[in-house]
Amino acid sequence: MKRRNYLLEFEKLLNRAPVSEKEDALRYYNELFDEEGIDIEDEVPEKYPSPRQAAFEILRDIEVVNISENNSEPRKKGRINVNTFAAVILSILALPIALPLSIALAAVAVALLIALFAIFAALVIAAFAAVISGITIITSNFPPTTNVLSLSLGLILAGTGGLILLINGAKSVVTGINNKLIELSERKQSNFQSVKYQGE
Amino acid sequence: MEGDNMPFPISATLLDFCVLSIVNRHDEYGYSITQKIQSAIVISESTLYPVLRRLQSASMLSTYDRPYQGRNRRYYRITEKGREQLKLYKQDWIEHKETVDMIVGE
Repeated sequence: MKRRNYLLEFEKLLNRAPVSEKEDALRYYNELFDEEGIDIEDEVPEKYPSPRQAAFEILRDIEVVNISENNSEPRKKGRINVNTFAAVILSILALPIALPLSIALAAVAVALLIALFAIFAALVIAAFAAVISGITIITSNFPPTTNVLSLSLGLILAGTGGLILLINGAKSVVTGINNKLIELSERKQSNFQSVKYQGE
Repeated sequence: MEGDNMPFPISATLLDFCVLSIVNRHDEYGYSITQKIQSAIVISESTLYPVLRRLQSASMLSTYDRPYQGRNRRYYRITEKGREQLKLYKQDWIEHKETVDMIVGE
């Protein structure tokens, strides 16, 4: 890279810095090149780091000095304190509403679960009742067609109920295994990724 | 990288110490300081400017320009504060050297 281009790029990269800093740095490098006898149109020797590297070293230094001089950290801390304070106040205010609301939601969920269980229980009980009544009716005086019909109806109901239970049970087992497998593969993947990052 | 021929890392403090020592003998311009340090330690051409800048903003160095072959050379001069710091660095260095020697032995 020619000295002209080297310094142009260097100057562009230092635009983030204060003007006086930029001018001082440019002055220093111009003097250095003059001492080495590198003309505007001459190539900058390989031993010089890239303009990016040179600019970075200066910018990093300016930043470090600014932080220690301006004490910008305590100001930031104060802002965080105000935010956490506001969050605490808001959560205290929300507590009288949030607590009963969550209790009510939990109660509704429990009620729904009980209702679901009751429906299933009723179906099962009805099926068994039909089977039992069918058997008892066979031994009584009613016409045989009614007996057989009642018994078969009961059996059909019980069988359907059992089938539904079986299908549901099988489903939950399959989805359970599926979830476990997904979990396992994800864990393996994340392990693999962390190893890769360490490698880099 | 810096310190290719040096197994021990060069810290910013050590560079401050070196620059203050060189300028303490007599005023020097930037290129000359780089040359002198490079005769002992492997540092990149871009390493010295931040060091000079840091020492200047800490008021340990002052600068003045003197014409040379139709252009200006910027000379660095040690200040009273720089001299005090140099004294501290020298004490620290001797202590550090003795401690390391004690562990390493003859």
